[in-house]
Amino acid sequence: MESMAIPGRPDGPAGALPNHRLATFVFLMAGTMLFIGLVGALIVLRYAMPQWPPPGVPSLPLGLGTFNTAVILLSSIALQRGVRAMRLLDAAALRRGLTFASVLGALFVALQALQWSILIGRGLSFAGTTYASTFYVISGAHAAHALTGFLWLGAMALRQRQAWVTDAMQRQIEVCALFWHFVGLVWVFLYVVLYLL
Amino acid sequence: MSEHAHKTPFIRKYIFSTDHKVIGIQFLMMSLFFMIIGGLLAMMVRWQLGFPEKAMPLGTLFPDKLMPEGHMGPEFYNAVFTMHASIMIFLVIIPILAGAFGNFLVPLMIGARDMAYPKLNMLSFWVAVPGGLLMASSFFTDTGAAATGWTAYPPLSAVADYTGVTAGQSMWIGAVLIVGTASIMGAVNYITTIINMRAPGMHLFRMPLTIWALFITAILQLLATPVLASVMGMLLFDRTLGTHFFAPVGGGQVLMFQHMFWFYSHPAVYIMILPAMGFVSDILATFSRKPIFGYKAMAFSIMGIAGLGFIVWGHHMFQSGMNPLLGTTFMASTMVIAVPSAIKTFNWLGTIWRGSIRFTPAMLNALAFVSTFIVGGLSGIFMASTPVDMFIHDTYFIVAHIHYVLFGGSLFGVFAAINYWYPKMFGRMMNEAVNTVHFILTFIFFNLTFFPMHMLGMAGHMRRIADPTAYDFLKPLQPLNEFITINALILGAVQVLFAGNFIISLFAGKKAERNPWHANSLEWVAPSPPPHGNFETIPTVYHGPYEFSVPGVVEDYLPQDRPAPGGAPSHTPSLSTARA
Ligand code: HEM
Ligand SMILES: [Cu+2]
Repeated sequence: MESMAIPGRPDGPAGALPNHRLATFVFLMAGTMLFIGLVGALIVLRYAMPQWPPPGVPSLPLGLGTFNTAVILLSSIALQRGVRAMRLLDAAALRRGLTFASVLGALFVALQALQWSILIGRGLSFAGTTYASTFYVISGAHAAHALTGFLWLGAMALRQRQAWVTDAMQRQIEVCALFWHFVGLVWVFLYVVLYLL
Repeated sequence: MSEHAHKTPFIRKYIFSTDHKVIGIQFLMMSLFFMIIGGLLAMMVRWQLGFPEKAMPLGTLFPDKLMPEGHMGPEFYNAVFTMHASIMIFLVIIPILAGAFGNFLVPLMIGARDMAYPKLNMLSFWVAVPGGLLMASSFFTDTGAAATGWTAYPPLSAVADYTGVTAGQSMWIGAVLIVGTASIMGAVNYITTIINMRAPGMHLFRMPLTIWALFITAILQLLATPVLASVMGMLLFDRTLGTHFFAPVGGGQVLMFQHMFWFYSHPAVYIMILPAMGFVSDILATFSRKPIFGYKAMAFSIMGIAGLGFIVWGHHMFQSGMNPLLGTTFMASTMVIAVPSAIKTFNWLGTIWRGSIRFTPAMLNALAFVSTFIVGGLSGIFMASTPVDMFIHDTYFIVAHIHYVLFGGSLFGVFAAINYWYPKMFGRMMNEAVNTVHFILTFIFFNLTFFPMHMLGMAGHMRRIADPTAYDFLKPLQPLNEFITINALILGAVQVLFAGNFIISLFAGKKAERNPWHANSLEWVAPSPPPHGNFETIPTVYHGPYEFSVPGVVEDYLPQDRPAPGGAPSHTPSLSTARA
């Protein structure tokens, strides 16, 4: 996010958080509500069915799902190490963190795509059952966020070349990191809801 | 500052501007434009209901398919009333309250130079515009515009064959998603700005109630709109990709749509009224020359209304066949909302009580807001009671309620706000005489149009029917329908006064001073119109915005940036005032 065009308060923010962090948290609340809406629908549809998954429907690849959950968590950890390095003014470690996080993010998205194609191959068609539709819509909405996230992380990694980090860059990276942790956290929750329950 | 503004090229200054005031005015113009379209659609609806057998004036201008020989068929009628409501809600009331006044007022009233994220702000407007155009342009598709009512209930909306509308309905859904995105962007900006960018000394409980209302409204938009997005997304998939989220044949749940839709849309009705409540609070205090009665109670009841607003959605569904126990809970929670609403109403009355009232057009419209909101709130309590609602659900009683709260409430609030802040927005005064006449006629014909609808509803007149004369039991009511239509047409015509005054005053209005109403909040400290960056120096705030008729002060008002003489009633250490 860009810095302010016009200087704001002479003596800094009136609230406890700087603008960019506050705005990101606020924005992520909207994101949370989106997934709450979708998962709410899933729950309603699920309890309306006598059996879930409905008989004859291919089951989700639990192993792949679990592995992918680990991938996105590792990505978050790598990123967090990068951000900590940024606070310690270690630009090289920051860049490493961003790159690792982005590559793992790309792997996550790729594995999601693989999972979809496996499921489609086994005959789990998008419109066939509410079981399939909810799975695809929820994981798809999440994948859209993950795609944005890893591209953004990658862009940050490419742009952060100097041995120092500008203030503007630092703010962008913080925002990006908050977003990515959100994507990871939501996935853990979705993993539980979609695969385990 | 102002030299800087002169150098900005036209396109950056008026089209792709990041200045919150320009963006606010852009939202205002967009909403007023759509208000004209929505208003004309209303006139068409009323003509059809009043005189279904007569050809509509100018009806022959429409393609024969829609209006054979100037007569509206039921299919076209469905599209017209649907689009009337959708445009008025999504493209007029929400953007004019949150978009136009939110943008214009938030930085000015909290003493900031702009929003926290001016570019995001600009983006929100330029996302809203294509959304609006997408919705409006659906009229020109082959099968016409959406025709399911603004509530778009499936199965009607989920299967194109049921209404015969193909692209139009999907465009409608797309438009709602786009406009929703714009309003989330706006909400993020308002919340951040209000929390972080307040001028020194502007504690939360020194903020004008307008800001409190816009703040809480932004939170509602932020939390409710994504749920609308999720349900609209699923509806779109049902229409286009053959899923069965809402179709029982494939295991879908029709009622789920209603629950999710109203989970958004009930908070949305508060998005459509809370800002107006804020404006009215400020205007009543200013023109009564008295502090607002019960400032904190007012702020807390805004929060109360918003919080309760999230747990009452089921009152729209008493007739839907949901679990009766659940229905009873929704009945109870809905009735509880009347409490904070009543607190606000009594506090408004307390504010004007024994004030030295000045009947400016802004004040008149604000008083109209209070009185019609009482009627609309009371009809709401009737409907909140399940057994009563069984009888009046989906009748003209609901239509009367909607219009008492949305026209009588929100729109009178908007008229009040335009009258009040026009000098600040454009640096010129509107003609008060014309606006007084406009107010009187609007108030009279508003009531003549909408009050009788309560009676139609009690008599069982359904809403959303194209031809009341087709039902024997409604035939005796037809004279009332004709009466309503005539008044509605006059009500529509009267708006020309306001539109004309609005436009002419832009060029010929008397130049406005900084503080024409002698009000206290910070926007009146800035020049009229404020330059880019708003204030010469960021003001320091010493007290709340309602210090009218303070004992010991010569004038009957005390701007927020001026300490009270002899010991300020404030917690801020005394700094020297920047402005004389
Ligand atoms: C004391 C406050 C209020 C109460 C108790 C209340 C109650 C209700 C109830 C029970 C209904 C559903 C009736 C039915 O469909 O059978 C309803 C409908 C409606 N209300 Fe309210 N209401 C209140 C205030 C408001 C306000 C402030 C607004 C908007 C600014 C509003 C806008 C609407 C709209 C648009 C509908 C109709 C929705 C539709 O079916 O198209 N209400 N209200
Ligand atoms: Cu409601």
